[in-house]
Amino acid sequence: MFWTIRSKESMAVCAAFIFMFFVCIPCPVHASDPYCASYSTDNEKIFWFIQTSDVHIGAKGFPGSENLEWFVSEAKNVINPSFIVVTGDLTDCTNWNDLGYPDGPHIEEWQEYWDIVNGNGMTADFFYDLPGNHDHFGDQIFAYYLDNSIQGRATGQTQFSWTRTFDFGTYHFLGINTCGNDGADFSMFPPTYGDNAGLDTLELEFIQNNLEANKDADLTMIFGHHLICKRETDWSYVTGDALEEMTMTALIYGGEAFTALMEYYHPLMYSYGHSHVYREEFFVKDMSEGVIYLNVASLSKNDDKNYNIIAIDNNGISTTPHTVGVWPAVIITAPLDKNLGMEQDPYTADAEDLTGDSTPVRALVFDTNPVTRVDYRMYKITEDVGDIVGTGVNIIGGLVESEDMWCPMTQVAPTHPSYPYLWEADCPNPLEGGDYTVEVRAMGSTTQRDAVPTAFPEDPVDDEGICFITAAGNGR
Amino acid sequence: MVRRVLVFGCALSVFFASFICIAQGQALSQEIAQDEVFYNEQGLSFFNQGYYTSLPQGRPQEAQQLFEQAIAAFKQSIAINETYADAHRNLARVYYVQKRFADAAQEYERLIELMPEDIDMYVKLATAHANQEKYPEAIDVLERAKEVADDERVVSLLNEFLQRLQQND
Repeated sequence: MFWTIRSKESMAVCAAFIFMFFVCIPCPVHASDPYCASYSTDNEKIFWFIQTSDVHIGAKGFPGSENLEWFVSEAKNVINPSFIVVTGDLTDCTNWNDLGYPDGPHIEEWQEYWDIVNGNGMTADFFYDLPGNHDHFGDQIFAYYLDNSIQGRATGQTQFSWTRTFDFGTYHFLGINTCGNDGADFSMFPPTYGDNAGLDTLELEFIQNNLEANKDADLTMIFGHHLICKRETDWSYVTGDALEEMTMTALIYGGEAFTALMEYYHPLMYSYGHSHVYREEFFVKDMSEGVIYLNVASLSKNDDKNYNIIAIDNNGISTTPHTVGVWPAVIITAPLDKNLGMEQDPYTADAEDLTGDSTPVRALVFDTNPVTRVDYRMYKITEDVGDIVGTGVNIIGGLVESEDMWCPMTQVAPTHPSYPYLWEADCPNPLEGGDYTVEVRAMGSTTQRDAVPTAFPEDPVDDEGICFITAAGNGR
Repeated sequence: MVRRVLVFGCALSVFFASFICIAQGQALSQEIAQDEVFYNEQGLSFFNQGYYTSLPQGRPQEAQQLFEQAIAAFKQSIAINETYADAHRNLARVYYVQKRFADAAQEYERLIELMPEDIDMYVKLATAHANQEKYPEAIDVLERAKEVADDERVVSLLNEFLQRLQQND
């Protein structure tokens, strides 16, 4: 795994890997089917997990330690996830120095990391912590990661594969090590700044072997630290911290082979960190169908959206970003967000409709305090209303205050596997077709909302452009 | 008979030739062993063992012993060749790891003299100063680095570091 690969060598290596991969694989059997989502009244085919990234223990002026402590204790206990995944940069490599210049690794950071995660009972079958570039600066053999992370210490590896099996299906997860192999020190010099990220042949073999071994899984999701390819300069994403934006790096080698593997095995999602920016996108480069490309923000370096809850409901994926310390956390799991990562996401917008005459709305709600009430509302804004759409926000703004728009949801019974988190409702009105926004509001410690765009089979729409349809039938 | 003598003579020659080659090789290797590269590598071996094995595995005292051995080797390397940058860099690193920031700063200063174009040495020196709360000195070093830097992106990074230091100054 710890090869030093230079660019020409790496290209040859990856080309050889791709060649060997396609020659040696006997028949096209895909690992999973991201198209298997359905919109169903069945409320028992649900599970969820949480992902965060870029903890940066040791970054001066940032609450890495405090937020990690909160994450593996309060957040873990309240959300009760199937597992936790942390996509790298566990430490900052700066040891709280004033400049923020990575000059480690530093044992002080790693001891603090280990004390927090181990002290809060994180175990290798539950807590999947991957290395990032800050965990690799100055450490070619990942010595500090391997001795002081949950996965490193338990497995002696930097990549791992795990599954979750339920009555309703098996789900495969893959954590990959996108860091380089040279352990170069952080450098002032662009374009890589010492972050020579990539996937070598052994790492790619591990990925391919595990995708192949789990090809019967219903869904596969992959986690890593880096972007697959470098972004074009996109000023719409420039953050307050110019330094981090400037030094954002991506895979230098192995990206094409990794994409080829994803094209072949059809994972649902590749989710990563690194950029300290939250983005829901869809990756299609060199792919015919693509993957959901989820960029999770930093647990400590962002003011909000510090972690994500990811839920699977009848094989349909939902995800929402949440902020440290803010409760309740709300995530709508049905209907699905039809625009997750892109307009008309093929994996969510085209979910098979098994609802019959029902229109189920389901949401997971997590809180430290009792959740007293959960409501939903569903409305649509037509596209043919011209200027009215432009001022639609104001119209909705007035309606937002109206309590009449909200309809109650009920908590599932204590015997339900997702009790006490799952709340549901069935919109009894036959819905007109078209695009709707579904909002869920939960009242607990505070009042928080989630909203997703969804769609129902086309029918004529309201001629004035805005239509609220609720269980109470009090439209507009 | 003559043939036997010839064979014996050849064998004897080969034996002595081999002996001479081995002896020369040993002498040569002893010569190499005494140069600055040898001591630098010896120091690195001690450092790597302490830094990548003992320290992450929770044996700090063992690590400190190895660091002291590394320092002795790096100093020996520098004594042989005072302009040997690798040994200065490694010595600075050990001092830095030991939190002997003043000693580390001294080595980074020397490295800047030897390699005035290496911006990272300026930043490491600034970090060593900042770790001693010598903020004016750290700022001064970064300003010097900006004069040397010829890439806008590097200058931007330096400005970012300067900004952070000025908040502490």
